Amino acid sequence: MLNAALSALHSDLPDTVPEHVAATLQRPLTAITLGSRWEGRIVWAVFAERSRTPTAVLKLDTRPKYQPRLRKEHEALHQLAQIPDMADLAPAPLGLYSLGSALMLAQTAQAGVPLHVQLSRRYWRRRQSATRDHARLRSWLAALRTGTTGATTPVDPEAVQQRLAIALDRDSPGAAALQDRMAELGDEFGHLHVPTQPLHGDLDPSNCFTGRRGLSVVDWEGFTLQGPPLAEVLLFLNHYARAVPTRDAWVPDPLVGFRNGFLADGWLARLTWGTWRAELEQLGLPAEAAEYLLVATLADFATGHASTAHAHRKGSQRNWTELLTLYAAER
Amino acid sequence: MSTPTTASPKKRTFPPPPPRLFGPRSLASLLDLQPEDTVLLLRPDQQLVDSVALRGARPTLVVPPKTKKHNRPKAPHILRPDTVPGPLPLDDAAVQHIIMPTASLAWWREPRWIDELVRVLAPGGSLLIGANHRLRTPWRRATTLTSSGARRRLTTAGLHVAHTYGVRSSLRELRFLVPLDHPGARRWFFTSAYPSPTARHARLTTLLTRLPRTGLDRAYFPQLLLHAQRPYDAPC
Repeated sequence: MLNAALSALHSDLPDTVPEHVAATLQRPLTAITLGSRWEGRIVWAVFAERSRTPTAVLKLDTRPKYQPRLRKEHEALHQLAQIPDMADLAPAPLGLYSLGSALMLAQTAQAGVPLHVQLSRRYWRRRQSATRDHARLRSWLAALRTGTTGATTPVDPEAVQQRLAIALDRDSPGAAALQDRMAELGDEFGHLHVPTQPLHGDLDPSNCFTGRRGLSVVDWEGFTLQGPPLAEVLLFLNHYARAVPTRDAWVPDPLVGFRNGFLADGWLARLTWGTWRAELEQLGLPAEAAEYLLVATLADFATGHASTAHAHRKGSQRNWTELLTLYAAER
Repeated sequence: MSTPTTASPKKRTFPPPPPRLFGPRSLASLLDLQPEDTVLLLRPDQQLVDSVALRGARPTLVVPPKTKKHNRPKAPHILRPDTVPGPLPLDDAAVQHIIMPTASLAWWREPRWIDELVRVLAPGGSLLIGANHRLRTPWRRATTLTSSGARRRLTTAGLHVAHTYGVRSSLRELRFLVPLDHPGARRWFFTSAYPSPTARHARLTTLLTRLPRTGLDRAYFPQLLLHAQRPYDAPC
């Protein structure tokens, strides 16, 4: 099937493909097969002869249920290609092909190394590197923000209270105090308005490639044209914190990662909160509302209202509920 | 007084699940299967059988004689030789492809069993065969099987080894098939695709990215998959 996929790519390459990519694809090709957690999905990183970096990435899906995600990603890549500031910060689309009952999406490969792999190889200067990573993320978000239309979404204090009541067990440690505190902050800040912007949908460090040109992001299956970006930023900060190795575990437990990123008294927590506040200010929101918006976004995740690709999954909601409970207990 | 008869519950029918591409069943996607090709499957699972059938080819199973019925995959053509490994009840050049995801050490230790596979394979046909570095006899007297050793045995039997894949499943449940013959792809896998689960892994991976292919690769690819082809000009 790989040969069929490569033949389809050779035979129907659009004119918009960069010349150097088209020239590379004409050479003999081989591929690494990257398995996916999704059954029915297969991903190939295609290499030209004597090449050290992949030229293209082919994503193939046999399941009709998940094929719309590939179409969505294809549209997203086309839309991103229209934003000048996003050049080289996201893959370029090569085409969408039907192979029998399967659907294949072809896109250019991004240079660099995934952030979670880099984090697992850092032995020293982690603090400086992490600061650089967060700065790169903020630059990338600023580039994506050029697609903003000016619309906003309100943060309704009553909705926040309702979601907290659903997600938190009132008898769990600190839950009642957190809800009371959030009610006070809700009265203080009222309806905050979050500007909407294009969203990636799954801003995990494993999807972020860092290299000489900065940060670029792959896997746009959860793309949303306009949405509030708070959940996306929080998702990155949390997943980044839990990808940083600790003395006790090279791959920390998610709860330990969250504690290190948001609750502990260390450089990582200071960096995480600093990035969160800076992003709020960038969006025109008060930095004093950092804790309020953090808890509100955690409640959104725990109840399935967050604007991310996997927020509707029960397992994801359960995990975020655990983090919210931990925050209530240890804040 | 007649007792009321209850209608038997209607049996629910579900559409067949779509083919799964990864795991043993993904092996079929590595071959250029043509409709009506005969594919000989040794040690198959049902998903692999189905994935071959879905591509229009004809799966033919080889089932060891003492296999229990509930462990036996279902297929239209099943062969039951007296011993496995052993002589196959097939004519010369009878099949276009052979898939053996996990070959036991017995297959690799006896050249005649590899020769038996070559005998039934048609000229131009492909053989996908797995090899495990950690295969041992019960007494641990056998040496480990290296990729070069496996290649040599296939070459001696008259096959052309087209690709050698390293098979890796990581802690994150992702699985990788890495063409070890392509130095760039191998290096990219170590530098960019493999998240190190421990500090020791991270250091070794960093070292391996700077080295050419060595025996240390075995630590990362305990299983190999060899894709060999029988030349067209091979004597039948």
